[in-house]
Amino acid sequence: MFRLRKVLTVRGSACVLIVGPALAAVSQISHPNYPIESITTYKVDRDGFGIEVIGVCKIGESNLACWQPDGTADSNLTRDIEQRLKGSDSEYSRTFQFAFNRKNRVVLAREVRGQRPSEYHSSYGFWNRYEDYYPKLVGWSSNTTQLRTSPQDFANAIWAIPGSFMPTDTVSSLKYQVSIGDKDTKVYALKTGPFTIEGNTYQIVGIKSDDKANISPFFSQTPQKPPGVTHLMLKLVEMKSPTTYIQMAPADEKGQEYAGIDENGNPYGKAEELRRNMEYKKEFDEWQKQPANQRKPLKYPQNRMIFPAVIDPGAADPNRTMDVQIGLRASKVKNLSIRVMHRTIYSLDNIHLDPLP
Amino acid sequence: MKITHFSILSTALLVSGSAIFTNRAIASQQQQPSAGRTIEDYRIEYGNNVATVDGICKFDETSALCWKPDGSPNPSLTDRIKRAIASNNPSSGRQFTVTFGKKQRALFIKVTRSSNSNYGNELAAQEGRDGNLWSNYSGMFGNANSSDFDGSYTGWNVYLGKFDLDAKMANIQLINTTYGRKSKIIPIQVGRFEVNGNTYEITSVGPPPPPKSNPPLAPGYVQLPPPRLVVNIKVVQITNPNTSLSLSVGDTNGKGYEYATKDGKPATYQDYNDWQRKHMANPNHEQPPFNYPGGASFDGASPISGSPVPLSIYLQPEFSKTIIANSTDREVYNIVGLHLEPN
Repeated sequence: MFRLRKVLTVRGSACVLIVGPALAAVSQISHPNYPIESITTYKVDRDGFGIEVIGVCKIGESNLACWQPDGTADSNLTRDIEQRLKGSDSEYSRTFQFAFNRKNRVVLAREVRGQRPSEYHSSYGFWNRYEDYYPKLVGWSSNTTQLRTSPQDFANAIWAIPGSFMPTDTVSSLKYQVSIGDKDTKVYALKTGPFTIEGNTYQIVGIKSDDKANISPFFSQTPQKPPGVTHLMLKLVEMKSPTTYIQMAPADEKGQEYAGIDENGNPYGKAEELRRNMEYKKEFDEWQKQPANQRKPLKYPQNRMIFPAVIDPGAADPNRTMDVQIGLRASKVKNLSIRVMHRTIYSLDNIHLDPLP
Repeated sequence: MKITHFSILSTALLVSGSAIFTNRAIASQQQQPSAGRTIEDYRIEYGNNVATVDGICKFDETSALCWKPDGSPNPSLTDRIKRAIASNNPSSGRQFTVTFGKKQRALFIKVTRSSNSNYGNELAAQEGRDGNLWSNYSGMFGNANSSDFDGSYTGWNVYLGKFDLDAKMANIQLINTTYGRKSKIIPIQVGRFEVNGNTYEITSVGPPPPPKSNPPLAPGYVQLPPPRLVVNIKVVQITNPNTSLSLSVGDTNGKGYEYATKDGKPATYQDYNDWQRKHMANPNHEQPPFNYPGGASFDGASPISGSPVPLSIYLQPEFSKTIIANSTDREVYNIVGLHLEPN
């Protein structure tokens, strides 16, 4: 079912290894289906999305020592982190979890903010969790804290992530994922049967409509009719690309994705969305012009948003039928607009857990 | 239009959750609980309970050091905590925290309760009040307790404190809360009533004002109807700040209700459970169509504005005849002279 991914060009990374399912199976992700690419330069820059590991610290209540990810002691980094910790206005951001009988460290990373193609639909972020919570409790946690030079200095923020390791461990890896969506969407008619996307074959085995239900959040001042929910009973038939997942949104007869749901529970398209946005902007501008003590409450838009359903084959169980819920009744879902998302999971390896002597 | 919806969702969860606690009320006068009793021998007797400060500990990732509250060595507690750390028992939680620039200590108080004691007591740190830097802790070490055949009980309350690095001594303020000792039945009609020395006033009884906004709704939740009756209550005078009051709705005889149906009729736990059993297979995970009958609470120790607080009742007025006022008493203890370092 697996195929090795092609070597990706990773800017700023001199060495990119391809790691197949064997290593993926022992990765920090519990599910074995995700291939992981190893990075040994401590930096991922994928089309402007990414992360750079800048150091590791050992933090006590009155002592702090930091070093570069290759183990080189770094007094400047230690001073910088100490100032950020002391300057923090919140005790929360100076508090780190630790596990007993483990080597506890905090890894430091900066987000790469490069030129990002604006038309991309993307998601990115840490892909951590304890490698083995029970019974070992080992790995970097998912509890991230931002350390800043001042409360407003988001641009120079450093992510600090606590982790616990076996006392004999000397190096570790930090996982990071970048998912970039195709610019164009694919359109499929809503009907039972199979469909294949990037080698992954799904089958809709049943469609149910619950016209009185609602899963879409909304801002409203007046009662609204529920838009209904379409349940797609979906099976993963074959998986060739576990890192390709899809976002599935309801669309009209022409395959145009709906932009929102109105107060009567009916979907509308982009043109109506634009009209509503203009109307709200006008109302907001007028509201702002009024003296603050005479303002009447601002009316919120009477619409609901539709979030696409996400289907991740890498996390799917082929033996189970998924209940994929789309926030609109089936009679209004003429087509499915599907955006293909390409996920790459990077493993920034060889991060030293102790400074070199 | 991009809309931030997360706050709506969280609000919706609150709204659809325990309705009793959404109508939190606060007392109308700026009152603080009395300073309480000063405890210098590290021992509190309350009801038939005895609480004794067992020791104070500091931790690192592999070990612990504990001492008695006067700073003298406490090898027994150190040994027990070390054994807990070494046991690596996952169920007791193996994680702790370190705060850079703060001295963190754990305070262990041993509570013994004889067989005939009142189970309604609870001894808790008054977090953040009057500079109290201790908080209640229920993680690792927080669940050591034992009971005997005669019903007696020994347990440890654990509190975590964070102090400046140069702090040498600390105090802790503990509140012994006795729940539900007294209840009073008050007819739902305009007028004053007194509970535990504090005076309150029902200022109006009537239908709720028309809703200004649609209640936010979380995904999968059904719309519950608005309240049928609103009783506005204000605090007139607080003479006993160490008491708090929880109000619920009852029938003519002061018997409380368990649930209200969507139609505003009384329902029981049994009705609720029957509904859940029948709808367990529902893929939408709908919220059961029951609401709490309605309630409010007043804390004599908390400051308030003085404006009436609405007690929203979800039962039809024909069922809503009385307010059941349960008062909770508190005693305040200040344990002083806790050593933050061993001698």
